[in-house]
Amino acid sequence: MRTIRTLLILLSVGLILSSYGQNYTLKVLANKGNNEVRKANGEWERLKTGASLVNTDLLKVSKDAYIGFLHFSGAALEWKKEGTFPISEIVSSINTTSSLVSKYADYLAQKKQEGEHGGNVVGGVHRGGTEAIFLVSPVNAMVMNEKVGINWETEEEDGSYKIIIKDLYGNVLYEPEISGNRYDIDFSNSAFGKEKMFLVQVVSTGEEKAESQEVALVKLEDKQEKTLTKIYKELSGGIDENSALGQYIMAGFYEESKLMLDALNSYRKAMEMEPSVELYEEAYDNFLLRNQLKKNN
Amino acid sequence: MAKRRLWLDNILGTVFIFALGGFIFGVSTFRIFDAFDPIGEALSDMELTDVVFSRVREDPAVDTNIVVINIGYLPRALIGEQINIISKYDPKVMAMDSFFGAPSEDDPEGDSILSAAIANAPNMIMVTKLLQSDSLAAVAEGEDIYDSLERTHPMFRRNAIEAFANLDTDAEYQQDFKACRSFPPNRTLLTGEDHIAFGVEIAKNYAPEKVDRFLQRENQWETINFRGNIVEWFRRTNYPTMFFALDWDQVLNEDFVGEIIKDKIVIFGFLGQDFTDSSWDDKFFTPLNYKYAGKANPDMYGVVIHANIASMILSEDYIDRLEEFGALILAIVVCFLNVVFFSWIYRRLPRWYDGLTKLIQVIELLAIGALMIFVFHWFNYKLNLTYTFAAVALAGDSLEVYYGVIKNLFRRESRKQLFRIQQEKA
Repeated sequence: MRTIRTLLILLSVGLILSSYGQNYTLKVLANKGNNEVRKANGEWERLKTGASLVNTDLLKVSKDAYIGFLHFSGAALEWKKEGTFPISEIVSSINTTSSLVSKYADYLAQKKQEGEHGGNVVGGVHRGGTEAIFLVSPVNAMVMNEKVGINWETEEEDGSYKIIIKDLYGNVLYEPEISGNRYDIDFSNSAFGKEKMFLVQVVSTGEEKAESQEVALVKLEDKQEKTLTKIYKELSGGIDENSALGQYIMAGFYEESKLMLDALNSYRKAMEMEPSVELYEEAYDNFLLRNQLKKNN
Repeated sequence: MAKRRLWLDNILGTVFIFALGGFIFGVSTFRIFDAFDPIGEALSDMELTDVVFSRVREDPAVDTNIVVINIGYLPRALIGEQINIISKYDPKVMAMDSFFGAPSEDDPEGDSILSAAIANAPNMIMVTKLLQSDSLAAVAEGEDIYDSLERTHPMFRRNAIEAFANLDTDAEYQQDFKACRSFPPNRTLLTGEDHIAFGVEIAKNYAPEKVDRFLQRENQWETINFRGNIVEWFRRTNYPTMFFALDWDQVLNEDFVGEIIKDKIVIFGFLGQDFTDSSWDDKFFTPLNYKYAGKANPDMYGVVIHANIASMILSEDYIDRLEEFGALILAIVVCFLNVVFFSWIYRRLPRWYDGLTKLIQVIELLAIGALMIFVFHWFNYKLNLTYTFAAVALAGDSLEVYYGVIKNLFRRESRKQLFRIQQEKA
């Protein structure tokens, strides 16, 4: 019964995703080298300029090759790494929202990490440090929704914490205190004014002082928000967002649009709505692993 | 009376600053100090707004309407073969950024193939070049007036439209250093013939209404709002891979998906021996260069510049600029305001004059630079503030010279004082 239900869910996902208009994830703009592509259940074929590739395709890149891609969001990407890669892995390296604010957020977040870890940390995604409190979030996260939940992992059960939310200049805007290990940030809170960029950290208020890493949350710029809202509306028109499946599909959309915190929230909601369906928990775990959001032990 | 003298001083001070600036510019025209100015040389081909293209602006979207094709060093027969292959896939516009001279006795068959391919291609646009004849060059060399055209041999332009491919660079010849930021949209020869630019003609055959609106801007020169480059092997450019690009062999082997050609613009041109070629032939420096100041490698082939021009027109995303006259007026106003303020400091806080004016000038120059960058970034508007820069930079010390030397020269008491000192010395 569970197997049938899982199959039905997967079929629905496939149908719905194929119906919301995107017939490619990447398109080949330029291609140099003996590169090949393999579709799901297909044979290896020579990669051609103009070819449309989807997440489930595999790409084999030869030595000294060059491939230029067009992402469906309009962003461009160069790929020169030799090897065999799923398209989903290539897509994950695209920065589709490289605005000035985002570049600055990367810079600030990186600087904070360098300060804390002596410059040993590389890259924008947190690889899971050994803090007593581990905030489950990328170091720099673009956010689309007005409300986004953050959660953290800690050894202490039932602790009390303060969420420190600062602006670009380090001024504390809001610092609620809560119990538990989850908090929903509401960006419409008047304390945030018209700010678009926030630094968030969780500190314990108990006897044993502990704090999480600091992460940067960046609200989408207007242009990007318009583009993604359009896609979101088309997508949500065909699904029930109050269902686990609907949230699961939305999670895919958010992840593909590099909105990791929104994706994380949707995966969690799907899990909470249907705790007995293993698919959602597996998807959530894989999401954390894929984006290096699992804490190192 | 005192007030009138005050304002007179302010006006004359402003005039003196511009006169001094003009003199310095005149001296620099003779390039006397160039040997001692490596920084100036390195920055001479940089405009402040290049920083926007290179570092600040948001990533533009890829333009899938245009395909750029490399002809490499192919013989004419194979270029003809390329055109025939591409024609099969129903492009809307085809354009060739290359000249073909007289047919040669060595390869008549190749010439025939190329000639037929061009004649049969839909909407083929061939390049020309605006030229000055010897007689015109004798009286107007270097000026923006033309009386003749370089054209492809008639055998290779049957049924083709022609448009000039001249770009705005300081290069005297093809192999010279070429920095390109703008182009002439159209020109009229002295003979009365009107011609439009290659990139404009391409856009006209694709979306004529957009070109009509573009030409209504009536700019002598248009700044190119570069979208990006094509496949870039050597990391010389920001924004690589902004257009579809096919190397010469990929066309001959039909190693591409036909839908990228159908109803699109296809521009043929030289993109190196192949995409991995590092040569500088027909390559320009553009604001998209990875190193936007100082020594760098040229980053963009000419054919890609034309693709950018067409793309700019199709997206109607233009850069407006402050004209020369407006720039001069702005400089005069800013200079005058500086003179008024510095004159006040000179009279009321004479001990603070040097330090305060230097500090104010530095802040102003930084603010002007930032203003240029961000106005360009936010509004696609190029503020030409070179005169303002110069006026602000000269204001403090020049005003001191005006009050300390020029004014005193016209005062009898001061002149007497000067001669008295000289006599005492004698």
